[in-house]
Amino acid sequence: MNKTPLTTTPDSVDIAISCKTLTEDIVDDIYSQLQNEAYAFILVFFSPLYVGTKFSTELRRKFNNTPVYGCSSAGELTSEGLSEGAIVAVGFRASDFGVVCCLIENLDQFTITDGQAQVQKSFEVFQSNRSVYKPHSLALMLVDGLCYCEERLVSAVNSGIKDIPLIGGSAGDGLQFSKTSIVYDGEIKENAAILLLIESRPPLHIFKSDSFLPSPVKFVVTRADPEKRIVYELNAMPAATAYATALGVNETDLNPLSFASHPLSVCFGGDHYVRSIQDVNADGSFRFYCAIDEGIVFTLSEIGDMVQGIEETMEEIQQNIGKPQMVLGFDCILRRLMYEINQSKGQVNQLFKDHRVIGFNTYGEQIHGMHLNQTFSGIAIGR
Amino acid sequence: MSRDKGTLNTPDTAPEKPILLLSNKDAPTYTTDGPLSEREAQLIERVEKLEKINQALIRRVERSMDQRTNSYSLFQSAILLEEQVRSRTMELRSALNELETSNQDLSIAKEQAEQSNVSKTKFLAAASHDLLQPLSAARLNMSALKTEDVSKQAGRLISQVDRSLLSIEELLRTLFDISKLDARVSVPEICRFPAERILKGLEADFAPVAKQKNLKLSVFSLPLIIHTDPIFLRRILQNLISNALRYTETGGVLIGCRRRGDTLRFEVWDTGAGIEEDEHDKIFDEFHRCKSHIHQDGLGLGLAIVKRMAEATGHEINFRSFPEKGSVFQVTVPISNEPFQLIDEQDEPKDNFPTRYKLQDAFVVLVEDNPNVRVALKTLFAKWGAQCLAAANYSELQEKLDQVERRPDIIVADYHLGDDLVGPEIVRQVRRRYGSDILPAVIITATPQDEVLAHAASYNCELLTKPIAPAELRSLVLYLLNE
Repeated sequence: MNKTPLTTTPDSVDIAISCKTLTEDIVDDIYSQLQNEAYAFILVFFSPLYVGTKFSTELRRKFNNTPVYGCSSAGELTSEGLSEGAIVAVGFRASDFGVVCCLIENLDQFTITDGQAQVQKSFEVFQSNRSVYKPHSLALMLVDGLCYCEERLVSAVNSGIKDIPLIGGSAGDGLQFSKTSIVYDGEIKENAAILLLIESRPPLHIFKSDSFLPSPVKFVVTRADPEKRIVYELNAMPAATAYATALGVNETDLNPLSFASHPLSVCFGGDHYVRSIQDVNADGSFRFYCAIDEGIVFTLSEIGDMVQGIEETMEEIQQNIGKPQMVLGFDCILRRLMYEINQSKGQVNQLFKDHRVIGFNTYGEQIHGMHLNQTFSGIAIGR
Repeated sequence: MSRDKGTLNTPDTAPEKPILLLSNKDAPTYTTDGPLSEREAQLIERVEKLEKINQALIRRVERSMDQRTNSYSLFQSAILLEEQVRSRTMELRSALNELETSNQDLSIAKEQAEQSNVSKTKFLAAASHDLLQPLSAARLNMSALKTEDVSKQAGRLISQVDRSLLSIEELLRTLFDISKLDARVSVPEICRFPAERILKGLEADFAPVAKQKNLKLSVFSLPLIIHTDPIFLRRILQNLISNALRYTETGGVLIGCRRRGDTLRFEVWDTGAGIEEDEHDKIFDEFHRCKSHIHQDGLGLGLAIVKRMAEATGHEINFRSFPEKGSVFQVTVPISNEPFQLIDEQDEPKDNFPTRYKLQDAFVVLVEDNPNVRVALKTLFAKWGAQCLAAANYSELQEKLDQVERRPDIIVADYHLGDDLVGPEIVRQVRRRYGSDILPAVIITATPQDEVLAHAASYNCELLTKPIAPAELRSLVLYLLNE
């Protein structure tokens, strides 16, 4: 039996959260929170506390073989706010959505040509089955956050999906950097990405929010290994030395919090984009979350008012599609660390709850053809 | 979009002169009153850095110019690139294919080799188990017979049969141990361990044996930490001492240790018959027994094991013998200069398990075969707000874990679990299942002997002795969860 909806417009999505231990309990928990609806697909984001496989498979079975997609996280954005250690599930009703999924495996051997061909094939299937009642479309990508090839992947995908807007997130593993998981139709995949081509009745709005203030301090990358995303030298000095000197701290004191609070950005067409440092290596070089090259110019930046940034984004969404039913959000893990540092966690938590932001903390965000860091990106689903 | 609302700059409206920090003093200007040579040096350094930066920028600009001169060259380079990419991809593919084929061959060969090893070990394990089971049953029946009211003659016979059964059992166990060493199923795990602890345990074990034979047993120890596998070393010394006591009729056995530079030499002296010179080469062979000992018990396998274990651990074995006066066997072990800690994880990398800070939502896995203790512990954990999955043995645990989605935060396991795997082995299996070497674990035991301690320590488990004090358990578990 369908439960009576509280609003006059029926919901397009249903949301569930669970922190149970037993697989059966988790599935029951999610089942009871989602409505007894036919879903086009179910998205799950889960803490690395969980194995992932069993509940995805069982969830798929419980919902009559509804496809289950998702990934592991570095923190979950749930209907109860920011969480660590939960499973969050979103059911996309079949009446309002349709999906074609493309699984891209063996990312360590990924080639743009093969990727394009694969995406094009899925795109053709998607295009030939479009419903007139679902005029809006979206490409949603979830990718192994430790694959080091998001740029190539996103460029291949973006060229294969024509004008469909692309949004995505890199899966996390709670800042352990050892293994992230992608859920493809109730199965766990590693070294893989999934691309969901989604058609939608409700209007959609893609957004990207970042809050940082470029300073006049510039660094030129004088030595780097672009393949491995390693920068050895900035301004002809060891990277860590140059960066620490500019910050006025000891090299030995550099840590993820320093990188979160003082990101490096590059400037394209007047806009700045953060290239986040993942870690400092023993030799004083930096490992990045995203592509870098020799000769590029970094601008040292500071973090601005993130709460205001989120508020403005919500305003932007409201203006475009009205009050959203739900916001699917990919929030960089480094931003989450910053919420703790500058004590804005409470406010962010409230904002995310108020606007029904569901998603996870990422190791990187993809929007259109770009792989970015330290942004809050996502898609808002209107009425 | 970046939000330029700060005070740092306003790049859109007024482009400022960018700041390039080129020295640790972060001063791009220089005073004129400094000594000229120093200023020159500073300037030279600065110029060198600028040149390097300039070069990096020029290369970058040239690279990007290369691709954007005009549409035709773009078209040309795109075609070229396509061509290159295609041929490279082909080359790469065929190379990959070859690699894959040779990899497959290799892995098949490896699999076969492993398979035969595994089946050998499995056979041995099964054989030893199948042989030992009826033997111990027979011995049990014998001891039951002993309590029956039987004639003196029958009683003597019973004792003899019992003794024979016992030696068959020992023989089988020893043979099994040897094959395990040969098949590299038993591999030593070297850790830091106090020498005193090993000798203390041995002294306690052998004191009654010596007393029975009216021999004097003296043990002298040194408070040093050594690099060894405590189980292997203990076994080596055990066999040496047991031999010494067995083949000594009067006098006594002395166990001592001497420091020799960076090594510690354990010595086992006896006042037995000694070993004839022509036998020196053979004493470490299987089933070899010296002429002088031929009428005594013993299988001639003790030293064969000693030799293998010493080889495995890399400890040197020596002996000297003085006919009719006695022998001395020496085991040389490296000394560790670092302080000893039972659980030493300080220089281990952080594990890939999420940390929980409260016992409240921790997920505890408990393995305890005693139902009373199991229920009591489960109740305790529930009272502390933790989730507890309790099992009596490994197979039950596996079954239950199959139903669970969440990864455990900590394992608490009894050491002795009847015929089942011992606690540390279960810990190892669970860690393997979840792909984490350092999932915290507590072993509980009523018999905190050296083997148990060493076994727990070598698997990075904490140890708690029964009866368990709830407060102690709680603080230990909390401590481990927050590690």
